[in-house]
Amino acid sequence: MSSKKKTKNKQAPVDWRQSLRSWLQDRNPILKFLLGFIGCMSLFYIFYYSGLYRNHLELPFLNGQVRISNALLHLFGQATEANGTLISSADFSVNVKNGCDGLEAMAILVSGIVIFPVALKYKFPGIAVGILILFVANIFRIAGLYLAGKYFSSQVFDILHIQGGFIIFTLLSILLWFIWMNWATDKSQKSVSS
Amino acid sequence: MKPIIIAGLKYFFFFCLLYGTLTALSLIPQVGKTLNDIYRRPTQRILTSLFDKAHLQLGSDRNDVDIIRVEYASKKMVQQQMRSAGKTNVQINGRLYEFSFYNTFLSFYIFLLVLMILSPLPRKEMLIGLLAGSILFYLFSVFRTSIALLFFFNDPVVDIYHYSDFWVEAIRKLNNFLTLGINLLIVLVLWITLAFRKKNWKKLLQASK
Repeated sequence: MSSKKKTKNKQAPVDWRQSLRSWLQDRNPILKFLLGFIGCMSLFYIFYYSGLYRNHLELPFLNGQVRISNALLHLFGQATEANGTLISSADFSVNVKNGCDGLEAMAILVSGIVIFPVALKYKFPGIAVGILILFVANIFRIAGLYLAGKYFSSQVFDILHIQGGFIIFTLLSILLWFIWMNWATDKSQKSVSS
Repeated sequence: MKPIIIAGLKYFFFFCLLYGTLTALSLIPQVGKTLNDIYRRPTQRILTSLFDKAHLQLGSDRNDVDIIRVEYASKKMVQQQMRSAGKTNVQINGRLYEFSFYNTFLSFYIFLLVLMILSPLPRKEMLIGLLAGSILFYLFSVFRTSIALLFFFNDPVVDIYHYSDFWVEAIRKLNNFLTLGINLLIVLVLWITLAFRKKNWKKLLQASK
């Protein structure tokens, strides 16, 4: 009995180490990627919460987005006014704050592109096109939230604000990143083979 | 249209369908209330064991299934009141902290669930991933709540904990940092860790060929 127990006790740590090693080996490139991703996002948050961004850049950026969203709402026949970070009309108003600026989703995309192991010449178009698409999508998101608040209940507005506006917007950023990764690896493999 | 864009649009469609369905289900008052109750029970235990100097009571709001109410009071103050009143039972007015159950946990948990379900994983690995992801994200949400509570507990008026100015400032900054964006980032990190490995990572990249 005792000899059996001893054998079991000796084998257990070996199995545990082996399974941990194979788990790590299976995820080696992913874990490296994750570390880089977390590093890039940390740099973004340092900038995002810095005095430079909060005191000098945040307001002009939000005001710019509000003015463009307001112009878009005019195209949809809405009699809205843009005042600072506020889009208002007699019926409803939305205040665009930090977090509604789409910057976190853009940072996720840019971080993913920056750390992906491919030549720089493929990264710049990805970053430029990705940011442009997300910026335009965010303008539509702000205008859409105004329309949702005006024509539906406050509960619908709240749901769209977090679910549609935040989570689905982030998913869009991830999808753009996957599309870019496929495009970039395809291009770089073609250039190597030719 | 390129195959990868079609695949992306397909994924986006299925994501919206599944995410929309689960979100709609979670917004049914009975479902929301049940999930709120299930979430509160272990959270009450964890928070009570974390904050041994505080009386804590987690409750729900009758009119809003989204809200979790945390009533708290200093154990020391309660004991002092009991001593001065010469009683073993006193009625006290606790302070109240309310937070959104959906924004803290449920909406982002559904996001994680859908990302995992739509990932190209064998069933067994997906179940293990779902279980690990559920536990880890739940623990993160409790951590987030406990940081907020710790900040309130250090208020001199509340008088439950007395950390140094440095630590109170660090807790305040951490509390402000733990926004919805960080919730989202944690979900993404969990998803990448649990669902991606060498073989399916390459499979995803080769989808366009």
